[in-house]
Amino acid sequence: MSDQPAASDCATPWTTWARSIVNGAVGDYLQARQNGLEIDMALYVRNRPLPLTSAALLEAHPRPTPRLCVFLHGLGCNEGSWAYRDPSNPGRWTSYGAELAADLGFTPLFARYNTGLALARNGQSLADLLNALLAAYPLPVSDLVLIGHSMGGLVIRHACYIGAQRHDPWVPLVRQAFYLGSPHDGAPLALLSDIATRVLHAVPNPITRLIGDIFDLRSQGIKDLRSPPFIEKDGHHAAPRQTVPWLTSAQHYLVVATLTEDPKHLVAILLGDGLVLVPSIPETPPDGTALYPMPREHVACFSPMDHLQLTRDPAVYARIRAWCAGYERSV
Amino acid sequence: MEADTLRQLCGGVELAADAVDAATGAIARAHQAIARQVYAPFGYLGPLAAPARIIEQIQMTITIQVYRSIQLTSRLVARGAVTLLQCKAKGD
Repeated sequence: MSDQPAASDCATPWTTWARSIVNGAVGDYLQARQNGLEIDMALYVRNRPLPLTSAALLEAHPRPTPRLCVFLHGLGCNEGSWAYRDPSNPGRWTSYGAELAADLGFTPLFARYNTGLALARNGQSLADLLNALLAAYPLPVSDLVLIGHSMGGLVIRHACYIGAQRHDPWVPLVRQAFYLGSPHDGAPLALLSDIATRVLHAVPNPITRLIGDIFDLRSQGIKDLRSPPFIEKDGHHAAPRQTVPWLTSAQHYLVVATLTEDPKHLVAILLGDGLVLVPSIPETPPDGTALYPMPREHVACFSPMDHLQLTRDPAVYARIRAWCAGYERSV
Repeated sequence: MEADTLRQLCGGVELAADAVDAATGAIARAHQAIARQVYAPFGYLGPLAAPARIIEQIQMTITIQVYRSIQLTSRLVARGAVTLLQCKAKGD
């Protein structure tokens, strides 16, 4: 086994993709039925869950470092979404995790989870997972960097909120959190499917009602993408609705993309990266209660690029690396 | 066969049966609603109302039984497939 994490650590076969897609579509149903296809949140290495014991962690990462970066994929995906061909050596596969390990000495860990569950529920699972990871990790952890793509970014926000509420030991270790194409304002496509379902149900026709019923089968995870992430208590939104606060002790970074080369093009404004729109960030860094509490230099827009490309693009990696290196220098 | 693979295969079979069950149920409901729309005008045609109601009842009964037989067959096939998979796993 090599000392450096390989990109094959996060590569996955098509059967895993099929299972991940089913989990994204009807994951809450799978859980309710205790179906064998349901994915339990865990860290995965070489398409297998990594038991959170010192021995297993040492076997997966023979030279662990005190700096961890944890990757969370988006809706209907798995850790395979982080793997891409190295442009300087097309025969070799790599990932942001493998590159961060080589360049900055991070130990990369890839989570896989049931993306059909409610965001808050996955947030709680992630908080529990990080607690277990910290307890089992063979070294004292000095830094924890969280990188989430799309829905994964929202799960990170929920986990940080839940962890901070519970005073979990991993929370103060989170130095930086990266959100790649995460719909912090809600995803227009999810909102559109919600409106379509209501319209189809409202039309007094058996066929439209049938189509509406089929639309309505989509998972809670998909439904949660309609709006900003809200605080939940006992599975229900707190009243009045409050958005999940950002972790004040960490630096937050947004990476967004537009389909067109010109980010101000009408297509870019209307469609963003195809699934998530580009948010408007205020000029001045606001306080922690603002919708986006990060300075503009913590926001990068890549054009032209689509939503899925955000997890596998050398330019995006270069920006993440620069931000990580810049943070190291600043402290 | 690994325990996890078996669990996933059985899960896939059960999910397919659930999908057939749900789809059949939803289509049956739409079918009945459309049929009711067709028969509804006969209710206003005095002497035709009673025979139309009888024909509607017969059609509805046949329709429901057809959909139920599809659901039952699907459930039986799924149960058989799960049992076969479990036997194969034990044999391995």
